Amino acid sequence: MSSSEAGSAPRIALPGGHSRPDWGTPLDDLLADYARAAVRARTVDPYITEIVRLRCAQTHDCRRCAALRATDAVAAGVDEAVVDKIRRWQQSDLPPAAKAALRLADAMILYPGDAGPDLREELRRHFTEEQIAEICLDVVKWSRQKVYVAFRTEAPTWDGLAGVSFDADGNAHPGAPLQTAAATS
Amino acid sequence: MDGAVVERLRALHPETTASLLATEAEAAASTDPSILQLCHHRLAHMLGGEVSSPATAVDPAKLAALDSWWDSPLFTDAERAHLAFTEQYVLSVGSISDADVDKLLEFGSPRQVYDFVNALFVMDQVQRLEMVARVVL
Repeated sequence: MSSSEAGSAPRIALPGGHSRPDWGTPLDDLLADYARAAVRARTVDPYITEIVRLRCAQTHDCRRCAALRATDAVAAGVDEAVVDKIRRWQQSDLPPAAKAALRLADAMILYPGDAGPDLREELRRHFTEEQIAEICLDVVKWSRQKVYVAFRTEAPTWDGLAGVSFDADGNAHPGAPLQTAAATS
Repeated sequence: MDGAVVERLRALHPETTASLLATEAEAAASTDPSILQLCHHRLAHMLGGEVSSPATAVDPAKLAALDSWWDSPLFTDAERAHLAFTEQYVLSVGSISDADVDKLLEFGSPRQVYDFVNALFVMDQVQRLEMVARVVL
């Protein structure tokens, strides 16, 4: 059952009044540090990073993350047709490197016990070990949404799609609404 | 986290790995350790893995009965509520219901429930990372 069917109002009252989706605890602060560190590691190109981020958002049913598009990835070709293909990436015509990255993301998100040497071989055809590690660590970062989804504190504060960019320190900067076919239909 | 996986990750992404280890330590200290360790073991079993660190805060008899927690007399109502939440969290976080969260709130304040879920998130991700990184790196 997705958020469109389940109750989607916040399940706990946050001290910040939902201006931010977390509580502001010491662990939240350390997780924010981790997120910035993960974003600063940029050995993987923006296209791959974004499709992995969106796969996490789709699988975990995170409304906020699904309503964001990384502006550098949009410039690199992640349009709404690509976003649709991520849902059924195995049957899609996405590039082989993209499929390998999504297979790794699914291993992390869905079936870690199924990861085997064949996955490693497929990944090594397209990525260095540093890049493979970055994708794994990115999935941990993007999966932070699971806490927000559990409490349903992840409703976007905007309509449609919005851009997001990251500065050199790894801080996210939500941007203006994006005019896309999906956003305007 | 498993030492060999940590060293491999540290060699490739030292800053991010150090930051992750700091979150793991804080998560373990931020909530009831016995319940967190029980839930960590349960989620590891569900994912097809094992926990690499010893469960120092849990009665070994409970660990041995963990795969049948729902009908074992060893578990308290609070432990059952947290284990049930953990199973739903691992299987499909998007399907967690208001009732699932309300059940936890019967046993703790909103802040305590938040701390538990936040810590559970860290343990879940560390477990997944460990299992996959051990194979692909």
